[in-house]
Amino acid sequence: MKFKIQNMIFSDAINNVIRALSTKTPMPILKSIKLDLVNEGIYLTASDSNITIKQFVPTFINDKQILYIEEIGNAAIPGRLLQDVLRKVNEEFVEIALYEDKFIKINFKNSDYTLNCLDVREYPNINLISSNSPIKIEVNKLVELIRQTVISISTNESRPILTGVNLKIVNNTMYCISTDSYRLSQKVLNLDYELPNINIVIPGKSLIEFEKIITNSNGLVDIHLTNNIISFKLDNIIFQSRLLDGTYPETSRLIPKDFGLIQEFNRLELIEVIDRVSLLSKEGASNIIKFDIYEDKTIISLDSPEIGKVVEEIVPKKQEGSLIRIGFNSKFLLDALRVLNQENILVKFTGEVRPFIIKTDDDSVTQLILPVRIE
Amino acid sequence: MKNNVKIIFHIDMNAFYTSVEQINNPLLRNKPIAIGGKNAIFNKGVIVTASYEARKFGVKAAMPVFEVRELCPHIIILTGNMALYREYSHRFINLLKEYTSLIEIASIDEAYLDVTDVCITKHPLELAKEIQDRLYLEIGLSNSIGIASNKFLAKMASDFKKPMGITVLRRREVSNLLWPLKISDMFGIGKKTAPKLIEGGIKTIGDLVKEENKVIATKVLGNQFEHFYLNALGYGNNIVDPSQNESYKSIGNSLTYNDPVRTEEAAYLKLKELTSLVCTRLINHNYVAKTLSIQIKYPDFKSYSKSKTIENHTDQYDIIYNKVTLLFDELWNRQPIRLLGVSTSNIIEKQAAFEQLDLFSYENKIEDEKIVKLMNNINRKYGDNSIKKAINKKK
Amino acid sequence: MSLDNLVKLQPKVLKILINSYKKDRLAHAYLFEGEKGTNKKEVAIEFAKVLYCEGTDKPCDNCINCLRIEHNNHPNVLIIEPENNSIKKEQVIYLQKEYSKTTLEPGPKIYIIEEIDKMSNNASNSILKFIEEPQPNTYTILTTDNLHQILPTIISRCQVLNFQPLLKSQIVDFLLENNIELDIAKIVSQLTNDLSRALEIANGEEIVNVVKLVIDIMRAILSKNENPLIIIEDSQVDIVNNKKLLELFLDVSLIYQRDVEHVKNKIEEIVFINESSFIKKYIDNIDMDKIISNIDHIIKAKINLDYNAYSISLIDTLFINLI
Repeated sequence: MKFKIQNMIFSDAINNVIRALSTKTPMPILKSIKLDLVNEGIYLTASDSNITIKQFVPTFINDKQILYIEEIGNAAIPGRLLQDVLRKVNEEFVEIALYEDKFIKINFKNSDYTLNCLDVREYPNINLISSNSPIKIEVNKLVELIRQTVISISTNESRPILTGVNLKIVNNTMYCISTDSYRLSQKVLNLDYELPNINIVIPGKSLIEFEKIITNSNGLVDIHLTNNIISFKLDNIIFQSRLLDGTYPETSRLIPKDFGLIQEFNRLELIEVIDRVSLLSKEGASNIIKFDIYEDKTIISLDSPEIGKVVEEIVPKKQEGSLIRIGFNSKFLLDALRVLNQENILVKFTGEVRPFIIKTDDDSVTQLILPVRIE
Repeated sequence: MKNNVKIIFHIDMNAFYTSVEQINNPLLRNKPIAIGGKNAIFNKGVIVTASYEARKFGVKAAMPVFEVRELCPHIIILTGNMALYREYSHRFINLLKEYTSLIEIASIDEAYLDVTDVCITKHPLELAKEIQDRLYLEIGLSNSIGIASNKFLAKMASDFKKPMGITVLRRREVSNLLWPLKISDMFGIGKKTAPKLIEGGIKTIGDLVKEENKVIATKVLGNQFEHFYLNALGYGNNIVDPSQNESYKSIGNSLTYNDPVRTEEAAYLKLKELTSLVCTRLINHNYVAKTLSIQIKYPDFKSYSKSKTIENHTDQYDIIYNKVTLLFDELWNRQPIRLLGVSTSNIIEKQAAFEQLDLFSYENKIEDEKIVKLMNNINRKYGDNSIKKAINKKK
Repeated sequence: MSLDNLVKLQPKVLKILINSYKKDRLAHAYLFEGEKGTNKKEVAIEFAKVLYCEGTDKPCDNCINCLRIEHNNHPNVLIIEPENNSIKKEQVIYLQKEYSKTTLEPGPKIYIIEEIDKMSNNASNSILKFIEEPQPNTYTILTTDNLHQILPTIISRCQVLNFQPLLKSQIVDFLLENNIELDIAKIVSQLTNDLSRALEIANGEEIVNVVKLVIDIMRAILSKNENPLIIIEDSQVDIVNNKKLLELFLDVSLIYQRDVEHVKNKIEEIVFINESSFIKKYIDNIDMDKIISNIDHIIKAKINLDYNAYSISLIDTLFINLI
């Protein structure tokens, strides 16, 4: 393997894939970035075995040749070292060559670095799948979907399946569901094309990582699914994650459909009031607030044994149904409100010790919260 | 003063949060500042409190940020730092403890002191002046002190003159000093209750003791009427109860082992004993705890501790023991152990505890929904804590 | 180590495993139990190689999968071993996460957890559920030197395979195969039951010098011709300042004294084969009580060394007692 490449473009690609590089791994080979040089360009791959990022850099970009190939081939190069060396490059092009399958030489101007490489054949055989029928979704919609669902994933490893987002396709409708068993988020998108049914669980952390990568891009993302792996393709970048093994609990019947009380609020106003009520609560402790719902106003309060009582009032824009008093973790409601985008939100209650849901004009998203029992 | 009359101080830190911010950051001193919510820095939301420099411009608590900026364009708005406020709270309580152990911490910025015994040798006003000056000079906190024969009057008195005021409120002066005050200024009368009283013609504290208002006042205040009525006449609780403070302390036990504990099995046995001691104490006090901690000391006297906050308050042995062993596993470095400690904090009374319901199991617990609803209705009509679930309290 | 060698060393265990593999009846969880040095980890690794080998004669030790497992680079084969004598919480969390995820490459998941007794009871319980309700195509191999320290719930969920301690002759044969001289091989075989450790000692620089020093000193004591302390002063081997060397010196001395005891009791079996005639020549210089007391003093010196006693005074005391 021997090639010359424009350093800026190569370094950018390295910086993109290196997010997946693992710092702590029992597998020595995963400290390397894999390079695959083919006639059309170069593939860069990094992985911590949970997530893998692969980027393709073509020979020509906008009709300008940025890559000159002398000999195709592949190599596994220590990732962090490669990144450090590239930072020192002060020329437009950098030359990289593999010797004796063991050493990589990096040349620019008068500098000459030699790095030891591991046997590239030992790099995991990561099949970046491409199915015939990917889900196609716009970047901004996917970002919204991820933000609206990952808030409810569990951080507790005792039930690993709940640390993921359940993705189901049933009759061309896609359901994304997450719950830590105290709250639940659900996003439902109707796809206007034929897709096979599937039911998988994606690790929440992988989605959060992927969201960071695409958040400032635009365009269409292709999502390819199998029973073992999910991969997202955006332009020349492929992001892939292993899945959670196991059966996700059935949640559809747990989302209430009949409500005894519905309130409508201005979303930002409600965020502010709750923010204020929870301001003085002790950090680390769960912030239990109470909604005392009257005909003309709702009193929101927080009672903390250490600090005392904070009381705020808010007048809903609309309200209908029987009056209740309900307590819940204010963080759950704030998380839910912050990932919604509409001006107004509906809070729909079913009872004092039953789940309530938050809805907006955008019917695709449902946020559900379980109250606390106030003794 | 007669012997059976107590001397109670109520000490209130003035503009506590903003004062602490100014002490902590000299650049903020003598400048108008305010504490707002997390949105305040984006010019959204309202402020929680303002410094005296800002109040001169008419800035008040709960005022929207845009209005605050109109009144006082160069105001500095900060988001709160509770950890810092708590640290200062500990400091002033520690200073007060130099005078007496009879201290009841009422909230993060105020406390009651029973100084009856201290005043055998020192005049109350002289003592108050000394405490006030020391709080200001040594910590930097301006404060006001109310002096009276019970906690209610002391609390009302500390409000008379702020900042740096000292006010004595004698029972024989209530008709002159207390009764003209607005009913909404009476300690214990909340935002919800005041409008209802005013609607019923009770505008001042004095109106509350008038015979003709008794019926309407009873209707609004429920069984608490008697309590407020007596307060208005100048009577009140004069017991300063330091054990009140325990509710936000911790309950724990530890033991030193002359023969160090070496194996996991032996340590687990010791943890079982300690946990059961702690649980018994929690149950006897009718408390539940949310944060569990473990402490390990090694023969080199180095001490390590680790804690974990759980989802629901508890006094259950099984839950606490399970978490304690998890903490132990994380903390123990397999050296011999000289001391083991188990403690619980984030403690509240069992009646005040709440239980986070679980999506997959809440339906099993729903049978008493009607009772909860009924209780809530009663509490709304007649005031909080009018009705509670019966809980067996061990003696 | 090759599978053939392992079959020689642990015939029973490998017969069971190979039969189960051939009949496609492998258990989901195994507990390999036996003394240190009985090649439990090596067998576990061969197990993984057999399941993944692409060659015809499995394991071929040559295909990419065999190489990756050997180098700990196979993404579906996870090996957890204690760090600083305990399996840490992070390792357990890592393991739990691995158990709950799909594999990166197609194929079975294989988890090898060494010295499971070094895991806390809580941690053991947290992996128990993965052993109890195994996902299809998942294999867990636990190893331990201390079966009695393992939770009964773990033992009952696993197929327990007992690894037999090695015979000394097996260790000697193994060392001879690795080009170690017979006299050194015999001595080293007394020092450890662990084959790789034995080879490490035998190939080390110290052993030959220490053996020579022990022979010189023991001859001096037996023949009463020379003062052992002067021999130590003159020796290249710095047992005074190097604790490891001193330890080795005491261990080897003990073997020599036992040989003396054997000669006295007319037992043919001795370790220092080349010393046989010398010991026989001077055996009447020493009576049985003195031999027993010498062995006692060496053992006492070993114990004192464990307690970090000062080396010079320890050596002085020892030789005053031995002379």
